[in-house]
Amino acid sequence: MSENTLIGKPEIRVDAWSKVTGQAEYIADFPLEDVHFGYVLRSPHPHASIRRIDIAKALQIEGVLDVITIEDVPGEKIVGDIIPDRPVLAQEKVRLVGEPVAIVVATSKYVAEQGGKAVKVDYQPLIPVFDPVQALEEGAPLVHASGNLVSHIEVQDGDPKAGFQEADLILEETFYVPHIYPGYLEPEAAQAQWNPDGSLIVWVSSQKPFHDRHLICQVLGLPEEKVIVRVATVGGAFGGKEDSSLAILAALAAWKTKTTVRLVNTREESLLAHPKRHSGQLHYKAGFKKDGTLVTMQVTSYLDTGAYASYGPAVGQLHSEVVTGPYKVPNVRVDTYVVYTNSPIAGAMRGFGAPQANFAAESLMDIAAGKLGIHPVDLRRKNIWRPGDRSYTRVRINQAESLQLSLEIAEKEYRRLKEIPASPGKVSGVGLSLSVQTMGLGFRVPDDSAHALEWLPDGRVRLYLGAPELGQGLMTVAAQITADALGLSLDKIEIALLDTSQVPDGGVSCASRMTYSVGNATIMASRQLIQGLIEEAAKLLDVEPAALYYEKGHVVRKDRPDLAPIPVSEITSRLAENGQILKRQAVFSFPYGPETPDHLPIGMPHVLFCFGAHVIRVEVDPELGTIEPKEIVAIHDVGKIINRSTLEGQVEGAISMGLGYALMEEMKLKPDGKWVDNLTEYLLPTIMDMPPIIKTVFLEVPEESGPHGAKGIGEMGLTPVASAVANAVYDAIGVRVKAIPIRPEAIIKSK
Amino acid sequence: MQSFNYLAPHSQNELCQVLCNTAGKIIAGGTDMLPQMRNLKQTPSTLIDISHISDLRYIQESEDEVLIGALTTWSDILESPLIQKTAPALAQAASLVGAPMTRNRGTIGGNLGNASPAADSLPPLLTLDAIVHLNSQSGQRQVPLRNFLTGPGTTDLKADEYIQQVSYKKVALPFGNVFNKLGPRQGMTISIASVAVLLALDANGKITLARIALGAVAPTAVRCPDAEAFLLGKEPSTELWQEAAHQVRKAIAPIDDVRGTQEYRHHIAGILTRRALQTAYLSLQE
Repeated sequence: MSENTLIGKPEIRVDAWSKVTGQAEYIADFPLEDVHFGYVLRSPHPHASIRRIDIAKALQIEGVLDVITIEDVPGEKIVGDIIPDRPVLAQEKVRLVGEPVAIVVATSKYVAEQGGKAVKVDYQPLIPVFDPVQALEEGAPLVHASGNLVSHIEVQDGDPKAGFQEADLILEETFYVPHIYPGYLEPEAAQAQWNPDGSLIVWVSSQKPFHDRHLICQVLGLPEEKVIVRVATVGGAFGGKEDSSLAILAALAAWKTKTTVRLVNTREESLLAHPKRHSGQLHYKAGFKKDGTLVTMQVTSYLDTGAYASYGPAVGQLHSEVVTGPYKVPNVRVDTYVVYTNSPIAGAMRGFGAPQANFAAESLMDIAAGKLGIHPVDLRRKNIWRPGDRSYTRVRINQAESLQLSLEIAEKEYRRLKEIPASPGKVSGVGLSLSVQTMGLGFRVPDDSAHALEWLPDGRVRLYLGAPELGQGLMTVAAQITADALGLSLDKIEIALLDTSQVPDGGVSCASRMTYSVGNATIMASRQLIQGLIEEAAKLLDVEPAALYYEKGHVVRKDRPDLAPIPVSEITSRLAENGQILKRQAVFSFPYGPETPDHLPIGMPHVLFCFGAHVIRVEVDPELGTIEPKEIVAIHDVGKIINRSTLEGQVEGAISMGLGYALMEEMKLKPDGKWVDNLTEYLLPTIMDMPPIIKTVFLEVPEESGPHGAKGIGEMGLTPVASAVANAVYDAIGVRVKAIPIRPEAIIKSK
Repeated sequence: MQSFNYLAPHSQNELCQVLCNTAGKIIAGGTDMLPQMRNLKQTPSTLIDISHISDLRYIQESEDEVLIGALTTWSDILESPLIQKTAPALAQAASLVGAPMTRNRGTIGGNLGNASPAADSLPPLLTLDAIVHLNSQSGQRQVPLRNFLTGPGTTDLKADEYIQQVSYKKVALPFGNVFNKLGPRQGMTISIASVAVLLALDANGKITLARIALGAVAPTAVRCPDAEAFLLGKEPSTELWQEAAHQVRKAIAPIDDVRGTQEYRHHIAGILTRRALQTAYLSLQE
């Protein structure tokens, strides 16, 4: 656009100041008058039928306004993100520990909690099931009357059986991955205000305010114009805040009591009751030729979606799409089973099925390399997708060349890290893995993103961002792209509060597609805004629009070069005097173009991929079994860097999550039958657990449909971490780990 | 959420009176108490906040002793040149407690009173033969730390007493004093096992002083007298440390928990001991 482009500049985040000074308003400390507090009474049982709920005693407590149960729901009692299977509050039975059973609304948190203790629920415990394979067995306890199988994704390409006959080496391995917690700083929160006209305003900490509104309206039986959803500051989300449960409960509580009600989860509630990453068992069987050619692959995955489906079926689909890794495999058979159990609900979480597949597939590549006597880099080089290749789902691979570029850099880094000697008493190992992550929601899933721009009377531009900032830097990147498109400085862009009655529907903030979709939409809107400006200016000046052009906040007259350029504010302030608003909205639709095959073997293929590679050096203490990451090199093709600082932040943050996945995080069921439900027992990595050196290498192979060529990065940085760690551990001490998190006990035992 | 009475005495005299008249629970920095109150492991009817008693926060020395007031924080300890010189393992342990925020609030008295088997201060203090000074309306009492600890979370502290200070005799220089801790992560971690050793040699290089204490591997932090006796009079060697580690493994009684298995604790207790002895020995060679 302009020569002083903002694209690529490490601009300071537009929300930095308000966050570091504590001025940002999160729901828990949101200034709101006459707010009441809700206490959500939750199930202590993983599986039980409810014989009776007695609320009489609770209602007698002074300060308790109401106790709400499923009977109070006026509209749909059972809703869901993909499958309507989840009662708003428990109905007849509970299926997980932490399931909401009743909401007590009171004048203070303390009274609400007292009220909760006074509600008597008569449970009849049922036998629970926690293992997705056992849950599919004959006679297993039924989590839902319809059966425990949520979905079976079945894809075949080529002839896998014939492939195995052709193979010189056949490997069969089973990998285990845990349920993990998104671990955002801010636990889930929502508050709702009932207005005398029967409308509701609901403040959420959410990735998807428009879906929240839709579900709230379903549950309350209200038309959408009666419900306004506003997004407060979101303290991290990572997919976990694609869950509307708390927003629905707050809205229901406010509607029923005709007051304002706030619900803020404790850390325990957050750990138990809100969606996690799917745990699972992944059975891989793969056939290679002597020269390393991957000829066939058969993968059966059992993903534990917990008590309710949440986004499980979609996670299973995406998992299935990337299960082979970024490799050309002519014969593939994939069966992915998404299964109900009485575990915590699993749904969307950064990577959405890909990290599980990556851990297995990239571990398998190293196992194969070892057996074939081929270097892991060479084995990958032999099999990676090349330009023009199609994945086994028959989708053409975009920017496949970036895979090879990533691998070349990774190889150099691998060799460099191999030269570094271990600390005394430790053994050094280097591991490498490639990463494939999809972008967007997938074919046939509505994937539009609408945003608007308004030129204000003072010459500044207000951006009506239709999707929430989660902490990832969306507002900054969107403002940068907009400012660049309009030739303005960044401080001329202000961002409107995300209010569903004021902003267009920008879709869900998820799926590594915000920079891509928002960037495209804001560039489109900027062009329209400039065009609108020229038209309005032409009318005011009484000239033809063709006599004018726009440059850096000014309208210039071609016919009168002697006249000074006119600042936009002179035009927009005149429009304002006439009651006119200069505002344009643009919708970017994810391109599922003619390239998308008609008869796909899979229901929801993604058509854009992001690629990268990670190389990690670890030091293993062979006596203690401990693993210390020393250096990690993250190579990612991002198409185009929009803001280097936020980009590095995304990747470094993703690496810390990936290391947690690899080394310590797990929703464990303890011997006493309780889940770990606090951050003393559920361990997240600290800054001291991060490798002293993180090197980020960004490739810029432009995606032609992206804004300035940009692609997604939100998820990809996490995906390859666990497999790279496992491969490095093997390199160090020859122990092949097939289950994460990798515990020191396992290292000692296997030695 | 709980309701409780809150008392904040401003002097040790007031505290004595309060403890005489009220069955309450003492709170100082709150880094143990508040989480325990939050998850209802502690439900005190009265909370006695001693953080306003300014004369309980000190690190002092006499000719042959070091005295640490109960309200001395981890940050005070790890920054104290006196502690670094006379009890390097304690300074080291202090630097590994929680995070900076925890270290700025958490106190040594609280760590003793809470008596977690995994408490970081205990193995170093045990190697110093530390004495716990208790006070009450009816007078002062001094109890060796190893007798003070009676079980996981339990101590010899009487209902009307409070911890005034902890003291230890200075050990003649040179000596090696090392703390080793392994947790499930690097930062803000609770030990799977921890060990402190104190070692001194005579002019001939024979061991004249050997003290070994472990945390998180028994109902309380423990000394290992057999291993210590075994080391006395011997010359340091890798094999000797190995044998001491073997003795240590026999002296402990670890359990399974979410941080580690019994088997793993057994395994690493010996390794941590061996390494701590070697590090202490090497520090004497410098």
